[in-house]
Amino acid sequence: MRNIEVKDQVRLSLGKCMELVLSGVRFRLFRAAITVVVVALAVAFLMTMLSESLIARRATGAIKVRIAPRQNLLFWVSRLSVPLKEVQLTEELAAIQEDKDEGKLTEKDRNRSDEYKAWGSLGDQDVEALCAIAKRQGEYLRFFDGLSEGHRRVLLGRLQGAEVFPTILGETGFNDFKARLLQLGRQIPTGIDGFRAFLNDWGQTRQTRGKILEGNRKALERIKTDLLKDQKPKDVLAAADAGMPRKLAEYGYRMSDAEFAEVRSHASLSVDAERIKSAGKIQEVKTRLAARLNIKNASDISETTLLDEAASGSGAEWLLGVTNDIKKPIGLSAKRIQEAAQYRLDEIDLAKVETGIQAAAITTEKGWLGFSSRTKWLIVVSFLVCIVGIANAMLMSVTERFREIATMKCLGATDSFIMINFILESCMQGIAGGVVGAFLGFLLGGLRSWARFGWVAMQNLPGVELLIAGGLSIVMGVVLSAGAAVYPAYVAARLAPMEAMRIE
Amino acid sequence: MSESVQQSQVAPKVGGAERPVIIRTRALKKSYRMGSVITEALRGIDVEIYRGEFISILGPSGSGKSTFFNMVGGLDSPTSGRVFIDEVDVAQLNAVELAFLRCRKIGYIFQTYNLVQYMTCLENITVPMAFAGVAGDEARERGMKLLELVGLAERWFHKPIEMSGGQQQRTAIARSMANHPSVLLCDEPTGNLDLRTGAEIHAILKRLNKDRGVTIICATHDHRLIDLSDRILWIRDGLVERIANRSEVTVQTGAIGGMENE
Repeated sequence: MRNIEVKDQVRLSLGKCMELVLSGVRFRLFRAAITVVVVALAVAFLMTMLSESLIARRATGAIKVRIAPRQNLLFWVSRLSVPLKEVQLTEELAAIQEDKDEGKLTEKDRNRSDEYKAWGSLGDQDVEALCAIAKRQGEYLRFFDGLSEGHRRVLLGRLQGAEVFPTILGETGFNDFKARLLQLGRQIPTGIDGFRAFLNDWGQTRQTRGKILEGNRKALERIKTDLLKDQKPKDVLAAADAGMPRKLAEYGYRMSDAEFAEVRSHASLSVDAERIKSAGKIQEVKTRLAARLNIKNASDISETTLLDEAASGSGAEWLLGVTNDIKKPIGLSAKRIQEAAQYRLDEIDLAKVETGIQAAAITTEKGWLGFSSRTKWLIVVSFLVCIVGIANAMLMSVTERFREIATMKCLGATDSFIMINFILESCMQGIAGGVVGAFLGFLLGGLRSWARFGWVAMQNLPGVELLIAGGLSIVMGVVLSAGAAVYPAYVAARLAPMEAMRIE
Repeated sequence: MSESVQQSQVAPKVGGAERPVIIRTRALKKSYRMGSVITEALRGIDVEIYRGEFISILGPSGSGKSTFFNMVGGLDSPTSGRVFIDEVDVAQLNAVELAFLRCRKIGYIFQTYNLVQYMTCLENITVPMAFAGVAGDEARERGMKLLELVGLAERWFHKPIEMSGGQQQRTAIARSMANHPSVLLCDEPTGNLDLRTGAEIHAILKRLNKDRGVTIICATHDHRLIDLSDRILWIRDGLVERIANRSEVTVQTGAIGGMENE
């Protein structure tokens, strides 16, 4: 009586499995191609979102850096034109406090503090206290903003934000407020007692803030008479000498020398750009420009047409010549014309882009990698659809290959071999689809970013991060297809080989 | 695992068996449940198939012939009773061990050839060798020898779609012999072939049986195949109706007048 030793069946190497799978795939290329396309679409979607997000983050950072000095110029021009308002003062104070909390107190923060001290005749501790209160105030203001229109009406009446504080300082006013809050069923941040404490502090420091505002108003009046003398602040800044910061300091304003240099150069360029603009309004200049550029109608000349021309070397020379010719000299050298024109063109570009930044700022604040919850939801849904589609295609494949699978089992294939076979096939489709999708997604994301930000986006491609995002997307593609194949592969593996034996 | 398989599953010795038994069934029963209806396909079969014999299985449709075939080939497990393949109780084997059995001990030949469409003739033959862990070069060598055995050496690179039915079946036979099995299970091997090609297949099977001592179990209606067998088994209504030696039976293979072997 002989006994056979039943050893465990040989496990095939991965390479051997791959070989067998690949020869099968060539045969079923069309079906495989469809799966690849499905995966590619889902992965492309993910990659588009990712690359858009990454590029937007970079681009907004770069743009902010370029915009900062121009915004600073506007800041100073407005300070030298209108007095400080309560709302603005609170914002500035809160900003200082936030920087302090992060441990990143800047020179500008210190300058502002010094200004408040000068205008209000205050000490360091007074200003520090004001900053802290301003930050807390910000919290409550954000709470008010977060209320729905109806709720806000109930709570604040027709008043906006901080305007309500004076009305609720007193006992009766506060109790009314408390009652209204209870009626809405809402909780105010830091609790009603915390709010009470804040109101006390706020009330007590009211006077101090008033002193700052008054001091600022007086200082501005004196500056207008002494320094500006009916001139526009921008013109004054443009023409000022290096002693300006010290002069301003006498009126309480604080500007560092470096800051002044930057502000002055920007003011100067801006003023010169305006001269180009005025020159462009002269009819004769328009006519000659039209002739020079072969434009039929002189009234089609826009500000940008002239600027584009003036930004080039030859164009600048030409403009200089023309303005001298018609006895309305522009008062600038050709080189300066070029610089000023370019400055203004950049400004126009950045203004266009700024709306893109607003939108981007909203999305880059929230969530993981700047995905709004809506985008996350979309991505999840697209992946689910993808999985279902692939699983369906695989199940069809299994059904078609019933006989082949059963035969393989008769030849000695183990259940796990069949399962690995299907999953490997799916993985390869996943990789192919993932690579195609990642590439497409990057292109699409780049295109959308370019549309939103212009060339700034392209100049600031976050290379490493994009590669990582690409890799991640490809991995997702593989996970997708392998995951989708699990159930069909399981069905295939469990197939009884007697399906192949059809004796009737 | 192999120890326990050897000891616990040793089947009782059939009295005075001079011939070694390769497949043995004891009170084999199989029923299928479809909803609330239970169909008894096999109702108690006791059969011994000797090593090296050529046995044909006959039976009308619905007789349980195919179910019996599946049992004997390790493709299905009984509801009750035992099947011993080379004295190993099939029911005791797990899925992996069953795969081993199918790979090395049993060869299968189907009515519909069941070749892999996207592989060449030679590749088809080497598939079971791959499952047995044979290295590529050796596998191809053995494959070519097997192809010479069935007379298809010059077609080794053809795909199934480029071959006739007879050639495909011969490839299937070569494939079934890939790992030197002890048993060959043939399900209507010549069912889809014309008479002349069928005769070639019959010749090959008989040769394998005689020269290599492979036990061949055929389910067939082809009288000429029955003619070649050593024993014939009739199954009806899930039971063995009759089992007889070839010598005890007269087989008439017909011929259309004037055309021999056609």
